[in-house]
Amino acid sequence: MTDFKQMLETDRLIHEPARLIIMALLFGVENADFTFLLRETGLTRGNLSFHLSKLEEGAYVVIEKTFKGKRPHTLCSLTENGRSAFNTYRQQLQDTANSLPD
Amino acid sequence: MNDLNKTIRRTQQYWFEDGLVELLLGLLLLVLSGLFWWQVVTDSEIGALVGGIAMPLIIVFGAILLGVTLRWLKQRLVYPRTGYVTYAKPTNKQRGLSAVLGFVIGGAMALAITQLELAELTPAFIGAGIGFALFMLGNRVALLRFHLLALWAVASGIVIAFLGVAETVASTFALGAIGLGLVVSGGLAFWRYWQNSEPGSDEPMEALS
Repeated sequence: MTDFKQMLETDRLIHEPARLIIMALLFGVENADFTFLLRETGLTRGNLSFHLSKLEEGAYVVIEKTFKGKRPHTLCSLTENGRSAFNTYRQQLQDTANSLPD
Repeated sequence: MNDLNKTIRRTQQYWFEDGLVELLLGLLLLVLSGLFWWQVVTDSEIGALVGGIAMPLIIVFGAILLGVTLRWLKQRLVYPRTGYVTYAKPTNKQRGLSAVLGFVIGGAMALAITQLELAELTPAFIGAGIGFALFMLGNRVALLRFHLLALWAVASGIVIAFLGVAETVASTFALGAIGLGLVVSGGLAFWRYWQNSEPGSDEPMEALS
């Protein structure tokens, strides 16, 4: 029962596949720009923007908008809160996977 | 879970995807090899001066120039196409560990060459040292081509050591062969990267309100 309870406590903001990929990509770096995330996730611009905004609302991601010359440049990075939430999520996922029968 | 770890590792691989690191490192080794060769061929006071004083400076400034050129090329060729990423700087502990490891391996090799009178095996030691570094890098970023390059470095070092040429010439050949391997590998990686990527377009700032 404990495992099921743990599954119910899964962070749903991260659990959504597109957001999980974004979090995993940002976990490995200090920051990454919109172009990188777009290419690596394979999402559309609109979808990526939507999920990044959701993660920003949850205070998991910081989005910094600047310009490089005349081109807009959007940098994204995980907050400490986001990093910690991602670590917790990974541990929960690992525990759940371990508790399943072979 | 594996997919998640792969995704995290993917960001580490991204730095090496374009092959520019190998390309520039290979060019640096080729330049060093060329300078060593010139030193051997001229066998003059100027050559000895370059070997004794200028060479360490060339290595240090070459490494600095490599870093500057790498950033310049990435900013112009890579980031506009496939995106910009910054990595967390290594901690003091990580830097310290790398320095100690490099010092121990380098020291052990120098001792083996001088104390055990294994000067004729210098190319093999050069290949082993560079091969070890490439192997560790390959393990860290999980890219097969670095393991192949490590194999190439070790194999060319051993083969050249047993060619029967003078130690100084053999060391020059070893550096040149390893440098050439890196340039070819980096060139191929860059060519593949260029073929598989397209210039990026402007980002929709308004979408990220």
